Amino acid sequence: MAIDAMTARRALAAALASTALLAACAAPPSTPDLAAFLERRATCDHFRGEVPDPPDPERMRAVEKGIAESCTGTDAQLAALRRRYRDDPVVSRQLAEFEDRVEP
Amino acid sequence: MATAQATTTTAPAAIPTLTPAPAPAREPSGRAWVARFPTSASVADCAPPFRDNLRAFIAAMDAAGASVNIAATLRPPQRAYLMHWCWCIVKQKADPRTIPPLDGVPIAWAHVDAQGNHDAAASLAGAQDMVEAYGMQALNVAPALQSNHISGTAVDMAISWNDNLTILRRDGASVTITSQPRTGMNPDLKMVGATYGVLKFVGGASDMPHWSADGH
Repeated sequence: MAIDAMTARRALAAALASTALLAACAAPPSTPDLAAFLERRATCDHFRGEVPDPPDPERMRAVEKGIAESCTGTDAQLAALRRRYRDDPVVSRQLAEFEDRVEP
Repeated sequence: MATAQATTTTAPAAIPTLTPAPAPAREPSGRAWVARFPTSASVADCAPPFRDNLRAFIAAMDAAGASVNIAATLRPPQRAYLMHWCWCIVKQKADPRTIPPLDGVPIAWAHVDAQGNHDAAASLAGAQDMVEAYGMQALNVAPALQSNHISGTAVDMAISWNDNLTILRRDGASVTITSQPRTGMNPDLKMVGATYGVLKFVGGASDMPHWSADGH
């Protein structure tokens, strides 16, 4: 009898876990555009702080390559995301931390 | 009561006259500013606790026979300010008259002519000279005003060694690294660095010499 009760509890736990897993899998990915931007802009901001001093042409080429890959277009992306999430105070606060304009 | 009388009859202390210190003369922007506030290559200029963590990690690499060549640690915020705003004046056409001042950097971004009027051409030329002297002519993004280097929590260093590297982790355990490459990009060395709180840049090979307190 004790074994039966334990078995029942395990079955219930397994069912609950499966349900939670299914729910997690079925949920749409949360704000992939935002996540992609945050990662890219973080890399961009990293390279913006890596301009070699004193000037070092080889290092500068590496920094410029990183900047070209991670920064280009992020000003426009930031503006678009701010518009899209203007009614979301959490995301808006997150986006407010970035400089409006880092590109020429 | 006596005390109150004594208080009311005591002559007030003389109040020293405070004369405001004269504002330091502002020096027009130009190439001369570029030699000031240089980026450091000294571990001593890093901020604690990263400074002590880095010092210990480098000592462990030295003891193991690795070569460590530091290119940069602390970038003073004054230098970041100068680099950022000269770039903005040249590349974004920021108005030199609107650049916010920074304590300890008496730079005049807005030049004036002999009549005391704003000289836009001279202001732009001064900023342009600085952009060139900093080697930022081809830079397509504004240099950062904040970063781990500016906070004193980052280092750019070239690391290399020959054969195997037997090195101590922070906990005193010895690790022999037999893997490749024999540089700062070695995954096993990255794990050793992490035990000291010195983290390799998370962005892979895009910034090979960079280590910091948080991997950024």
